[in-house]
Amino acid sequence: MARQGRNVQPSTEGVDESAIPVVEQASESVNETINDTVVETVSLSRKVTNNTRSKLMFPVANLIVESGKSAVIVFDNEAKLSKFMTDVEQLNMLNGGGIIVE
Amino acid sequence: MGVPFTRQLGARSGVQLNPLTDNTERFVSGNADQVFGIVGRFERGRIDKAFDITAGNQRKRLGNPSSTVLSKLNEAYVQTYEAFSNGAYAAVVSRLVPDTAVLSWMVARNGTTTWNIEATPVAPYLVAVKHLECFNDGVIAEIHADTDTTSVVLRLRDKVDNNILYEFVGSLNPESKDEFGASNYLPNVVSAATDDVEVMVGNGAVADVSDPFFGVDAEGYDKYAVAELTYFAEGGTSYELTDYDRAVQALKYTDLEFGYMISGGSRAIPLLSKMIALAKDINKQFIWDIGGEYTVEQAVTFYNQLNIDTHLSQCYFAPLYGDDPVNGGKDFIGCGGIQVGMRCARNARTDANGIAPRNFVVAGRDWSLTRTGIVQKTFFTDQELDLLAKTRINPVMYVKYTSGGRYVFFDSLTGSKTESDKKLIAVADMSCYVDDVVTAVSQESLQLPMQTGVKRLSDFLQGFFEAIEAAKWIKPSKDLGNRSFVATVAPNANRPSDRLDVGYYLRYDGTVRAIYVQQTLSK
Repeated sequence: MARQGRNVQPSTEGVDESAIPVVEQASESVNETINDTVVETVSLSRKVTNNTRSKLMFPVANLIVESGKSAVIVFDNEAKLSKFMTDVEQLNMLNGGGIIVE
Repeated sequence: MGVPFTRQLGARSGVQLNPLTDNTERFVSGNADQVFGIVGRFERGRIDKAFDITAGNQRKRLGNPSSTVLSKLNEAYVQTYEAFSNGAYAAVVSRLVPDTAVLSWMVARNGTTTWNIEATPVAPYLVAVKHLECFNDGVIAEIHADTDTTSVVLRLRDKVDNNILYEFVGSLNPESKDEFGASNYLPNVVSAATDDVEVMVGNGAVADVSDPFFGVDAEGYDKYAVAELTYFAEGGTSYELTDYDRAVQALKYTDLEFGYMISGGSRAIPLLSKMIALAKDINKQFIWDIGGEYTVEQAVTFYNQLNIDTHLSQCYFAPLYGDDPVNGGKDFIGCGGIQVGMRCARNARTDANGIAPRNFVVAGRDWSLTRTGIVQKTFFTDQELDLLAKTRINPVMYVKYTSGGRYVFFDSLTGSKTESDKKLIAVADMSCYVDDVVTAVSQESLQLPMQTGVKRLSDFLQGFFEAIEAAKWIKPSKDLGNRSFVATVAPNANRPSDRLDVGYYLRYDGTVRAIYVQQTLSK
């Protein structure tokens, strides 16, 4: 096929999902100063608590959270955070609730 | 009179010839079982409904591929490519976009700045064009007007290769007709040619001699106003549950037929969960992958949290780092595309009765992976293989045979949490096909007189089940009185005038998954 061996082309829309976000203790929101006004940006850190009976895995972070345990995930961009929240929403529907994100 | 008969003979003497009656119709299954459905993120494609693609027009209709290293969302393109190269006939694609996606009009006006992008065309304008195939990279739009001021040529070109996608020649005058008396008003010309482009003509639109696209140039060539227009904004790749719902439902409510569905390597829990629900709804097998970069524990946890218990979900786990056949480079790429391509190729090979060898499952030695440069990153222990089988995940891995080692689909289990025949993919594949065929024939028998319907369905089932018995799909069973099948077609006792009950019992042949060998030394 003519397409075989095509060079890697940069994506204009794609988001890198291959990187594994760092899992660490809760981090504070980042503050930055613009024109002498303090603007609080959206925190990319979330604490997830698994109160379901099942062990759960969050594919955006490749993170397993045991039943009854919690973990803190720091995302490196908002798109990943958004994907994570959508996954949690669906997992809550499948499990009848029990996953709490703070 | 040139013919020796009439169609309606009254009281007079003569010959009446009745229209031909055709009782020779046989069931032909078509090739929908060589087509697969996919929901995925692509650079091009309609967002309002599902559309079909083939190997020949994949690049044109789905857009440029991008590496999976940049985004795992790009795996959908690679898997589609691999499905075609392994034997799929066509694909029905539902493009995933967020609801922030915006499709604008390309608007042409008189004057030097001919082309503009507008959410809603603002009058006065000459023509407004909406390209429903939603190219992320846009198109090259061209317009030319003849010296009669109402005849125009409208072209859309592919920005990648500059080939013409569409060319329409029509009039700006709603009352204009061609030499055969048919309307050649531009919107009518466009709608007769394609439903992927919409065109509106402005009220009282006429070209002007001062327009840069009017008439011919000094050398006598037609003058065109040309512009590269990026008329579609994808709106990012963050999807809400409703976005997944919309994309999945597009596969349900399409008039295009397909036999299987694949996940395109998606790791999105909502998409997988909704596709499995759709599989149950439309009785199609859903072939999907667990990310090859996961550990066995991650794979099992990921699978279990989806709460799957259906034979229509068939999951593969390929911890294989191999060449990306589309973009070059290497990555973990799921084998769902290869699996569905091989199934499609198998289904195309039918016997004298039109039955494909679906009793041969795509797994084991005869179905080695066609990908190159594979490195297996996870080697399974016996306990891990046991766990994967219990979980109902089919590993794709390197296996040594006496005829040489190869990468193969190691097992063939469905997502059914049972030890019955329903756990075998071969049985799921055959039973799905039987249901599809019987329901299709039943639909053709609707609204017939009851006795005719009973006879037609009974005759069909007898022939069909004999055909699948000849193909060794089913075999004699004690429960069925040493027959391979038992079928009943009878009017319902309670509603004998309008309800027909069709039932069939089949004993499917199985798949050799385990062989126990014992040698005993005798004295």
